[in-house]
Amino acid sequence: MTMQHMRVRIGPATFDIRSPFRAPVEAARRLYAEYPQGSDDEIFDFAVAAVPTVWWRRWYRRSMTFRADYMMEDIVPIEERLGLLGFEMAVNMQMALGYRRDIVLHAASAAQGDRAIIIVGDSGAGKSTLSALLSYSAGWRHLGDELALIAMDDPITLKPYPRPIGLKNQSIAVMRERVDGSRFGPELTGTMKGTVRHLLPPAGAIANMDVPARPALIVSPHFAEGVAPRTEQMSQSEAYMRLSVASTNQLQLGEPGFDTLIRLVREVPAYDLHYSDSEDALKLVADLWAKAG
Amino acid sequence: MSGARYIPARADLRVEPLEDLTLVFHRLSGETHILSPEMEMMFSHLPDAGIHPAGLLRTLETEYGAVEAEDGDALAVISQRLEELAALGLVIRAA
Repeated sequence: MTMQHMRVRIGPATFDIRSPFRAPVEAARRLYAEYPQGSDDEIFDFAVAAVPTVWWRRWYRRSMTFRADYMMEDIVPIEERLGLLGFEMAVNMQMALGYRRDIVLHAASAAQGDRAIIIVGDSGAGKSTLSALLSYSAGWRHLGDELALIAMDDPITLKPYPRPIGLKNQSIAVMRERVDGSRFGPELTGTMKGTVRHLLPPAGAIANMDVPARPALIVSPHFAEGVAPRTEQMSQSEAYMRLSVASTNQLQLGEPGFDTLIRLVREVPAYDLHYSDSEDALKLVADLWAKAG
Repeated sequence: MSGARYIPARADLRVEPLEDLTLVFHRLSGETHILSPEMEMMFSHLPDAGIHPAGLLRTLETEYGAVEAEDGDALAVISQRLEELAALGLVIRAA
């Protein structure tokens, strides 16, 4: 078994992915077939390796753990069949903890023309699903479902980081009704988050991943069964707190990071969205977007 | 006048009022602090040369009329708030 490896660029960052396990690297190559895949002589930003938990696990009851510059202490070894998910999590972690050029927010984002919406919220609040719906059902350009990169420039811009959208559980069926199966990665069952399936963004989102957009609206989705659709505007300080908590690197960015978030909440209105249905969510966003002008 | 004198660490701070609350970025620690309207009022009335709690109470009374605290002891509340600001590094306590 030789070392398998690939390089892929997602937005502004290039990743080196390698493993002695063939299957997860091949799965990553297939998932990222539409993304720029670099060659050996290019500089990369982050390396992620999937290695056997102990040496003999390379052959028998195969399981792997991940090595990279930024990892959680207590990461659990995973079975070989979930290797693709492990790569995805490790890649996200490198960006969340190691990327320094822009403010990294745990948020989804999408654009219409050169103006963008930022979708901020806890895991499971509906960020990925809402961003997938916007790009596949409402004509938005997908910028990212997990991490939003806010450039500390004037005017403030969002840099696309359009990695495959990590759909979970019932969201998979919601999007499978709307999108051709060829855009989906393999179904990964029995993960810590239940069933996970990656959905490639529309091809235009990948082709335009170097085209930034200016934030014009911030929303925080709250999906819950049986609630009536409604929106509530956040105060500027509430919006600052939400963005600050959602940022994985603001403390490292010092005063320029503070300055950028302050300008963002002064310039861009922010709302909580409550809904129990995809169509309601799209309508709430459409109404706010029209108001944001 | 007895007690400590409190000097605002303005050179180390960036103060940004938002619609509802005021945020303060502390350059030395890289931390952001939120000032309530009450804290912001006290902080903004600290002269650059510093002031004792009793002096600050007089300044606030001159500007706003009677200053009341919930438990009745406005001077104790002001002293406590200044200590809190000092613990965060937003003011410096001088002897």
